[in-house]
Amino acid sequence: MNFVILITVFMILIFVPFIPGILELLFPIDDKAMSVRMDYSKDPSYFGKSFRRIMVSSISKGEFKEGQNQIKLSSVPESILVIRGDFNHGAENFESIVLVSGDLISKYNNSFNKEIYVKGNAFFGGGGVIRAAAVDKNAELKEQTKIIRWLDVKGCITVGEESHLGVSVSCGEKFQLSKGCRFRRLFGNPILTPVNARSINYGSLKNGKNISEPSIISYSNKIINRNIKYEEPVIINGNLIINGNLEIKNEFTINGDIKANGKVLIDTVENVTINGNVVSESVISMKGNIKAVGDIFSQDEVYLEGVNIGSFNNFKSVIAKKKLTLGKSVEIYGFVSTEGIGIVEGEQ
Amino acid sequence: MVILIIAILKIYMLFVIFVMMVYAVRHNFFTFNRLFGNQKMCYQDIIDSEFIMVSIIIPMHNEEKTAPHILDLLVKSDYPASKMEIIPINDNSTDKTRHIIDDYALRYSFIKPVHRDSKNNGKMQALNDGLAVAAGEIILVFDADYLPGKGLVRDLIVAFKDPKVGGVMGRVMIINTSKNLLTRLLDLERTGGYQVDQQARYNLGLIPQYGGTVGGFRKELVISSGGFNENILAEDTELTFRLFIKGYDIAYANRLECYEEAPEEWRIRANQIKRWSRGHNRVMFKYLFPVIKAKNLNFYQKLDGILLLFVYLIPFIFILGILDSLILFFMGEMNLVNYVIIYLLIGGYVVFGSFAPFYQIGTGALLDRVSYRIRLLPFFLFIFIFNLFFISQGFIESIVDVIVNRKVSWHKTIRYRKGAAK
Repeated sequence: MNFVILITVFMILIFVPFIPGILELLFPIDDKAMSVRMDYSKDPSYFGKSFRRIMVSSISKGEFKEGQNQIKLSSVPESILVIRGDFNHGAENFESIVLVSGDLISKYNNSFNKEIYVKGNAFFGGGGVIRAAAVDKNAELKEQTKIIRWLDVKGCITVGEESHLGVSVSCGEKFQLSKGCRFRRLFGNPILTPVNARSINYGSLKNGKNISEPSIISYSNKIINRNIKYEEPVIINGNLIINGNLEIKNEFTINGDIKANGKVLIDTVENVTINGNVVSESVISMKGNIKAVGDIFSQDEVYLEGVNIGSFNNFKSVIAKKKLTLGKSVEIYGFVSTEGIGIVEGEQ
Repeated sequence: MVILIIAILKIYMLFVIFVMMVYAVRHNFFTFNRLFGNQKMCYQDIIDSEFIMVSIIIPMHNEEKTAPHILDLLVKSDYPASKMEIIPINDNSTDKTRHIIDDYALRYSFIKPVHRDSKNNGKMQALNDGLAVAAGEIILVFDADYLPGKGLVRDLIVAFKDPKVGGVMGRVMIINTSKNLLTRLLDLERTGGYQVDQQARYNLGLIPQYGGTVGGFRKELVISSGGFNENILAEDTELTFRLFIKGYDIAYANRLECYEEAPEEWRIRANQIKRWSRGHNRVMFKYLFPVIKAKNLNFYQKLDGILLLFVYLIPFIFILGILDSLILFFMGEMNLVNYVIIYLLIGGYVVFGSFAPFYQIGTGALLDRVSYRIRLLPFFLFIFIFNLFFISQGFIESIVDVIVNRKVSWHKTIRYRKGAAK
């Protein structure tokens, strides 16, 4: 009898952990396939395009008169302020969505706590807060403007000093940054930082053709297991793959990609041309008069000064996991992104 | 004589305890890395308007249920058609696969079918024929039941901007999760395997695996080393080790997800896992010493590589360990060693080590932000026993393959697909 009781108790104890699982099988509440976005396609202007699409679709469904209206962007109706023509206002805070069919001019310290859609140009007077905005022409943000989420501009953007650029700012044309700006993701054609008067014009780059008495090295994907430092002029044909640090201190041209498990440090007043990508598991610091044709990618930090990346409509990316610092005279055609802090360097 | 046998049995028992402890530590280490460690980015954030020529190879043997779905999705890809060719390989199909892919080829010039009529069918053979005609510098491979999203090809390819990346691997997600207990458990198993195990290995600079689908490689690297070995059923694991030994890396992109169809019957799953074990163990026999001797691998990569190579041998070692313990128990010889440390190790494993795979799956689910499906975790007891048996069977078959040098044949996993792809 005791044996039967023991076996019964044992079986019950074995069974108990399965009870929640049996309930989940009988009455499933978490049995769907995990979601995969099948239509996802990377687009730096995604937020702006998506917002414009929703706005255009919602506007086409209802007739809006000048002034306050209701709009249904998602499930809940929201308030929208419709301005036909230009809008030059003195109010401090806007708690509704704003649609301006002409130009928008806002004063110092104005806050837009909902999305804005400007079909003309937009001028933000500085010190204000913008939750999110889509602008169809050009935009100017004066100093200390703070974007909470995103800004998408079809034309040019000029950003004043010490501005915070939220999660994402993109534009279709020139994107001029100022010192002290902070950012996460930027897209421009090109993105520009303030010019250093002492820097050399990129047009004078010799692209390696006139390098004086260079060493010419050819690599065919050979992996080099040591640190490398180039202190003399050199031209490299092929990919440079290093399990160590790379330091460049003189004229340098590479017709291939650079990959280093350690740091990539370029610091020279001479011309450097990289006809390929630069990838590092550590810090990338590029300072001088540098033309890079490819992408820059670091699992750590990136510092750029006097660097030209990509070309008109030929977009490239600069990606840094932890920190991305843009110094003077940086010109990037394409995309800039960091998971950490992005900053435009001020005066030294 | 008896004393010698008992001594051997005891030493083996200690060996099993040591091996299980090592793998438990490994599981926990990876899990901790995912929870608290530095997470490495993959390359998919790069936006670059220059595109490399890519060939997408899709081996197909009687895939009439799945072929239209994957082809429909790939032609919608945002990768420029001028830089892409799709090579569906009709591998001796007896159903409508040939007609389906020929029909697509008529509609899309970048779909270039290959028809294999030789009796020598199999995935490796199909891949080799695909490589022979591929124009792309990069090869992507999808199994026919996969459902790639619009941006997947572009995001996978961009990893090759890094010249040290020899291969890339995306994440496999199960689409038929809700079907039954098996598919639900496989869904959780994938969560642990990809969300934790693969990403942790990538974070730590170890050996993330190329999985043979939702991934790709540089064509030149494979062709220059003779293509795929048609006698190894795990061409993906074989390529992983081949690339790492040559000094290349595999980039694992956890965010690049792609649906697959999981087996819905235990019998089919048994055949699948037996095939994986048989192939993986052949790779172990071939690559164990090359990994140990490899100049391009550091100590940690070698250690991870060796543990990875032995993964499909461990169930067999464990089964023998159970038998060993039973023999020792009935001989009254369970007093292994009179050292407290041994008891602590056994106790440690029983209390913490055996939880390690569950901890890993639970952490994967946490990172995936799914909740109630964790209630099924105790059912992994059945998967454990099931895997123990069929993986061991695969190991024995791989031994026979090596001893008699027999030719292996590929058995395709049955598809359950109904309806059109979304």
